[in-house]
Amino acid sequence: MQQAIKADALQIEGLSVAAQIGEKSYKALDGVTLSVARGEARGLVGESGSGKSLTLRAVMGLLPANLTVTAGAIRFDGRDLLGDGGKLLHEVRGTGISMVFQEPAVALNPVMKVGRQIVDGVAWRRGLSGRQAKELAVELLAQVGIKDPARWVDAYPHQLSGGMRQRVMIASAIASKPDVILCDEPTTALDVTIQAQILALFKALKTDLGAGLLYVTHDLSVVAEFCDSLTVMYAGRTVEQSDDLGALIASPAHPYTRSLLAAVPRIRGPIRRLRGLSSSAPSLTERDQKPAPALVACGPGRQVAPFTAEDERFFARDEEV
Amino acid sequence: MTRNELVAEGLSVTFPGGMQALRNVDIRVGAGEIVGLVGESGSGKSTLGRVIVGLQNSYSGALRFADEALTPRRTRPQRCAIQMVFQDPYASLDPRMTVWQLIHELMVVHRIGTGREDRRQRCEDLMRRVHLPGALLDSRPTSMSGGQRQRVAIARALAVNPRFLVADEPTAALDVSVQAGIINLFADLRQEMGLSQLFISHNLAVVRSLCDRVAVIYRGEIVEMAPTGAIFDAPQHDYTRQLLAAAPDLP
Repeated sequence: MQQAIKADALQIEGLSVAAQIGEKSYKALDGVTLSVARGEARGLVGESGSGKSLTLRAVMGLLPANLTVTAGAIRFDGRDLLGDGGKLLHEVRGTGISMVFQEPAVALNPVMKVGRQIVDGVAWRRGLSGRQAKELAVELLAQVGIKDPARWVDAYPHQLSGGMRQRVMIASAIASKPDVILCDEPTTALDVTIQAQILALFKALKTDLGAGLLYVTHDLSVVAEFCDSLTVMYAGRTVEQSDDLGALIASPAHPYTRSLLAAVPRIRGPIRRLRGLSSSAPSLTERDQKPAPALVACGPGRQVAPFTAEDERFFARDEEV
Repeated sequence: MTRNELVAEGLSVTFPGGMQALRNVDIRVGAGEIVGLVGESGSGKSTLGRVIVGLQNSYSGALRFADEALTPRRTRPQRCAIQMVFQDPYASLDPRMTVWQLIHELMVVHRIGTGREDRRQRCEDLMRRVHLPGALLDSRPTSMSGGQRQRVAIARALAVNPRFLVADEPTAALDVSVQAGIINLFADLRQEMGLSQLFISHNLAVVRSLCDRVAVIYRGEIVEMAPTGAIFDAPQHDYTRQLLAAAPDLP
């Protein structure tokens, strides 16, 4: 393929995941397609249940037991992570691709000192001595903006505030200098002020490390703060994406994206009534079982899922139940 | 200026151990007014809400509601008049009870309605009021979405005919699109019933789209209180400016 213009570190193409519930199989993800280049931050937005977090889990090979990938490809530097009996994935996970979870209080080991959690994997891979590992941990804590890192390296997670715990998790995600960092709503549990600090940290890491970020959230205003590109998901499918986040927000092509944007309260500009979608997306068992139609180009670096006049009416309907 | 519905003067709360959660707080909510209360975690905003609704009874200072003094020993009408909607609709509703049982129980306790049939009718009216299908009365909150649960929690708060609602981060656990519907519902309740509200949130954009005035609380003190437009266009206090600078927004 000669048309690869930018070198995408992560490519997801036509990814479908089936959920086995009893005898039946349902489409949890259906033809999800997106890519992340080094140094690019891509926002991945959608409502609860749209499949955004599931997409990240599929990349990491962390799908629950009743979910399986049925079609599509996940490539890291052009190499298929799904083939090879998972050998490549094992090699890349935690080194080439790492993940930051939503709840650091849950994701961190409560009985292990934070310094050791951050560098455990790297120290083992690189064969670092105890002292070298600790030095690296202090360095990483400083890099994620923890003041007096030498003091905190021996602390346990419960001794840290929520914001600091999230910094620790980010430190452990960047310890191996990954090419891609998957972020699953890492600021949802945090206050506005702390959220702003963490977003600034991600912005800096993108530049300093040159890593690609795939940032999952339901909050469009968060990704608008620091992402370059945007993918919108609805009911397990990609509905619209753009390499230029600003262009997509300025002129959304899909009626779902339009109603999602109209639901976001604003800090500036005229105050208007929000668009409330009180009846939410179809659940797993109610979903369209036909395969998702392929995305069509709708501008430079932009794609949209085909939609009908009926879809348009459906998404434009006013709140009702 | 509208008639005062709720007036708090010099409210202070000190928790055992000496932590001062509120320091000399003055706040006023007019009849039919929605006042936003914003601040970070630990600023005392929830404590203020709990004092107003009667869940935090050790405080000093004066509280007046509808021109009557509120003491820690409130009368039944006073307790009904001020109701609360909590942050987490997954935690605030008993999962074993149907919506009908959840609301009916409350009506019986507070002697609302004249019998089972009348209460059923009232429940159906409440469901309409919060834009939920009446059929959901016989389902349990566990089978509902987060937005539907929060609507049930609001219906339950409305069941005792309150005049004032304290909403403590009622959309923090919800998706943006679901949040929008709940914000609109609070606006409609004011429009249709003249329900006064204290809306507690750390989300400034939400507060801006709903509230008439905003109080900013920091370390237990109200540092700024002004009409919503003034808070956002010309913030006076440094802390308010910091909060505004931190809030994410669409381009």
